[in-house]
Amino acid sequence: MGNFIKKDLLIFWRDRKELITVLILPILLVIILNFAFAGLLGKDTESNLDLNLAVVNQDNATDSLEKLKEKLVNEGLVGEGEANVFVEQASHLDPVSMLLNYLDSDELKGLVTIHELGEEEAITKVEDGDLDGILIIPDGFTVESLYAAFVGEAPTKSLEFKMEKETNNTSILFDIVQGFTDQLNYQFALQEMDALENEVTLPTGGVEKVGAGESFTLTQYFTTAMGALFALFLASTVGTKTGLEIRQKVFNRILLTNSNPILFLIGKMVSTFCLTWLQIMFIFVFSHFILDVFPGRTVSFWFGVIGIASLLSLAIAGLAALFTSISLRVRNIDAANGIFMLVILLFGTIGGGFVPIYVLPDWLQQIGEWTPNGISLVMVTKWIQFEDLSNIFTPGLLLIGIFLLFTLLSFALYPKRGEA
Amino acid sequence: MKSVMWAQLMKDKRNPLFILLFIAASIVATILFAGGIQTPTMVAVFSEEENAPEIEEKWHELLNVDSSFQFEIVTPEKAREDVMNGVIDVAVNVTETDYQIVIASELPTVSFVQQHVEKVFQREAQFRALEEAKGDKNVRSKMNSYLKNAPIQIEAKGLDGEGLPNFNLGTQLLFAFVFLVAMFMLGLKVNNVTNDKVSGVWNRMILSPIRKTGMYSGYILYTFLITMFQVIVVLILFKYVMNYEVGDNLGLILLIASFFVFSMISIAMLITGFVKTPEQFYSIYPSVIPLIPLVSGAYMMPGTISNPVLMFIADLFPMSHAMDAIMSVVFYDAGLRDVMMSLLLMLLIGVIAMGLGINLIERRNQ
Repeated sequence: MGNFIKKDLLIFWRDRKELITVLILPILLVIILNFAFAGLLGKDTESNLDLNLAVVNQDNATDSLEKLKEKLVNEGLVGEGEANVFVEQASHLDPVSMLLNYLDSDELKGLVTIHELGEEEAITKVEDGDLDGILIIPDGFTVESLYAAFVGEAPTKSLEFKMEKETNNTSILFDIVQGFTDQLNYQFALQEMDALENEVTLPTGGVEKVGAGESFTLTQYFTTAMGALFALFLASTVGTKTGLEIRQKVFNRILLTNSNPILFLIGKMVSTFCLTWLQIMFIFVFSHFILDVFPGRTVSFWFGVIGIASLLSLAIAGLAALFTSISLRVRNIDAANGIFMLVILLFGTIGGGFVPIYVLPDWLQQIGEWTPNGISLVMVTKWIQFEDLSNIFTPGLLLIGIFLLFTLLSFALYPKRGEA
Repeated sequence: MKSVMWAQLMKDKRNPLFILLFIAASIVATILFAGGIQTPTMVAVFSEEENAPEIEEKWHELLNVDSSFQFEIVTPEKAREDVMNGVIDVAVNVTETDYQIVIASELPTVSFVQQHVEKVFQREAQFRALEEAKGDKNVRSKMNSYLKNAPIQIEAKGLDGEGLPNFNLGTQLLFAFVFLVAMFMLGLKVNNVTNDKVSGVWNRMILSPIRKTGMYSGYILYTFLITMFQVIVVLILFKYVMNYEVGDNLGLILLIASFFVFSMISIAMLITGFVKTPEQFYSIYPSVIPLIPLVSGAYMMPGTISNPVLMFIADLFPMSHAMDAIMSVVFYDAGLRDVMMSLLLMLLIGVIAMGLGINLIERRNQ
């Protein structure tokens, strides 16, 4: 028995290049994912963005109020006096200067840099990639908008937001400008109702955290997901390594030694368990030292993590045993390897190993919670949040169940006398 | 060269399940994930006031205006439990005029939901204040009809003043998954080199009159053809059978895909050069490949990855160039001339990686 375990561990130890890849790569991935998604999903996303917006102001604002008055009177909509009143009101609501003030405000200082340019120059700069987008305020925009505000019809001139391609940056810029114009329109609507000075009690909002648990961060997610994913990879590696042993007739020689052939399988399982456990702990501990993934957690928390890692390792050992039995049985070892890879990819994907599980549709997330890596992800999530054994008891049982199921299957599939 | 190709083809012909599985995998992955983007986020709504049903009903209607969120009324206990168990990310506890977001952790969805809810509640507060001040019940509809023809409008346009084609992340994901599966498939085929080495076929070929160039080009060409077969079948299925948006210029897209496939074959060759046995290849290749689309930003809106180090790493692999080129063909009607730069870069990566890879494989022999 001991010899078999030693043999399998030695197979891994001899292949140090692979061993290093399997240990270093997940940690590298955790770091990369952290960088890649920090800008996308993190809390203070906007602070690391630097957006460049060109503003092309073709609207000559100085005489626009005069023009507006003329237009109102000429159209015969109102008398001179009423027009004066409206223009007076409108002068407080000059959309162009409000927009420019907003873009220049402290709120947006760190986020957007404004460049006042001519249209030609701005277009060249966008094409060179120096700017993200151009906001064009067309000639007569103020007059037309204010006129539209007065008569309550859609305006004939509109702001133009020009961009080369739709990217993350341009959509954020567009949302910023559009958010502001929405707000402005709302102000106009309120003015229309003569309700600008109305007293409003705004909702205060608030956040309630259930269970008063700790929050679960993306870094923790990536660490857990990568740990589980590479544990899966290890299962398929053990499976494929059997191919090598078949080729070198190791298996046949074992049969000749008169030792019980099932020990070969058990040796694989035990060594897989040890390796997976070491690998997961390595990933957790090193990620923690590099990225401070679990700041200020107690010793009992870490014991829980060790427990979860052990359960996952158990399930992975079962999977590896199943792969080994299949490898010994099939004629075409390559096809078997390919299928192992597909199974691992499938488990990895729906268990949240390749893309954050939150991107997947709900029903897929629920299926994913039945894969070994998915279950362990759920367990770690709950353990981090609540550190309560009752929360992870059922999924823990599930992992043991998976281990038993896979082990039974692999024993059943294990070649009998003369079948290997 | 022909005989090597023929031998590879016969292997696959005897066992076609594998290629069929890969074709199915790329279609299924695309349907699942490209479709997954559009499913709305479920948010539970509940109230703990005395007249809870009324309040819930009122806010349920007002909150359900955005297609990206779906609000559902549940009991307070169930809402808290679901949030705690991670079944849903967010729940909203509503009162007559105020709200509280119920969460278990800071997930990305939380801030989107929070923004939406805040906006709805603020608008409502204003409407209500207005109604009280005016004693007018029609304030809401008046405001809404005014806002429909809002005085200040904004339009998004391309640089030339033409309307901008709608960028569709689903299409980008489609190509990302087709390429991801293609990368796996070509990797397994390139791995036949190590397979034939360990089985001794390689040595027998060396002894035969076949030339080294012929041997390598046989493997490479076969891998290229079978992977392109998969890409073409999948794209044609998507375009003509499932009517996905894959652009009008299928010829140019396939040209870009062929450069990509060649380039990736070279990278697989390079990895093959590093390993001794097919088993080592199986353990290294699948852990490197899923990284490439991620770093290249193929799963996200363009421009999401802005970290210079990551962008540099992405540029070393053909995927980012291929995605760039294909997106500009599909959405911005780019021609051959516009994507020439990307094609050349992929070719360059391919030539360098192939050179290094074959060199490593040969060196190992000595």
